[in-house]
Amino acid sequence: MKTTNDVKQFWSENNNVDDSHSALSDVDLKLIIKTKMKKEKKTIAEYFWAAFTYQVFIYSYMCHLLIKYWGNTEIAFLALGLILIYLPYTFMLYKKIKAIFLPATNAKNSPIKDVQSNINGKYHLLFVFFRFKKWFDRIVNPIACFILTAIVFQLYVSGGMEENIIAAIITFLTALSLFSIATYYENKKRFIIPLRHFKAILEDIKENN
Amino acid sequence: MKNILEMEFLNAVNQNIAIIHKVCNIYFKNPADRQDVFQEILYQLWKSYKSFTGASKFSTWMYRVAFNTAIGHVKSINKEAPKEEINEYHLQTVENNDTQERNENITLLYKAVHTLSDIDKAITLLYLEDKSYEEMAAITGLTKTNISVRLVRIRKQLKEKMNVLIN
Repeated sequence: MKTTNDVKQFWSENNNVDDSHSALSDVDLKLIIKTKMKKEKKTIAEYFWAAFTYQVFIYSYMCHLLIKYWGNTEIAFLALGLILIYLPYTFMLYKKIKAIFLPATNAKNSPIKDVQSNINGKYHLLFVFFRFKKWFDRIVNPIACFILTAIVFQLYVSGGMEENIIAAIITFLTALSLFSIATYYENKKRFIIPLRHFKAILEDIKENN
Repeated sequence: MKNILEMEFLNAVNQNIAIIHKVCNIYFKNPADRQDVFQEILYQLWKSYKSFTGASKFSTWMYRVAFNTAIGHVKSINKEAPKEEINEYHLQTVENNDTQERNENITLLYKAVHTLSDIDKAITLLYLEDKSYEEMAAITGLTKTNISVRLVRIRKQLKEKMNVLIN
């Protein structure tokens, strides 16, 4: 194979997939659609429902505490504080997840983009949400861990945080470490690796333009 | 109504099904990945079929969906699945041209193409499939000039890699 024309000729002579062997039947198509729909729902559920369930748990538990300890201003302040700092995240999560996952689902209504525009769009969506999430993780995770520690010590440890300061610090740091480890792996899988991939493609396009 | 749409879709896809196989072969070394992405491309085609207005050729639209899906999948799958050498799967496409030399050459060609970047792989496939610069530009979103410059470099790279692999 001495020239590129040889390569092209070789390709056209030897790489014709026999369509008759691989033609899809109606049954094949239905099976593939059913399988992929299930997988798509699972992917969305993995991220959205895991995050959403955690938030629902936080809201319900805090509401439960508010009602149970009605009149206890310290508990009311902590529970309301946690609800208030999670509300914007729940709103943003719903809004962005819809934007990230639904273009594929609602593709019927929008034309298919070329490769460059598609990568650009995917990168931008992920980038904007990840930027918000990073900011949220850095600020809200420590506050949430502090509030949860304060609630636990206030309700279940005699003397509260004031008389068990070392134990409270250890609990706070343990909770924060667990939150940080979970956040790191989640961000790596859902954002850092895909963003790196899309960025490399966009840089390749930009460099060769 | 849905059945008519399904039949219409199935006929159009079956006439161009080689596009999906070729895109999968170009981007994925592992047979399991190829199978998974093949199904994913079909699913994406089905979901977006109603958006196909006929403004472009069906094959152009199909290439767009196939490349978008394959390129979007690359990293996550490469991360999770072990890479395998190109072997019998690629050779299935040439089972009727049964000389060993041809089998070896097509394997080498895929090996050389797999070393290219994702965008270059797309351009290479479109070039090998004899698509016009206009069509390549409509599919990739790059300008015709950019494609032409890239093709000069890709052709040189492929030629060098093929010769290294052959020797």
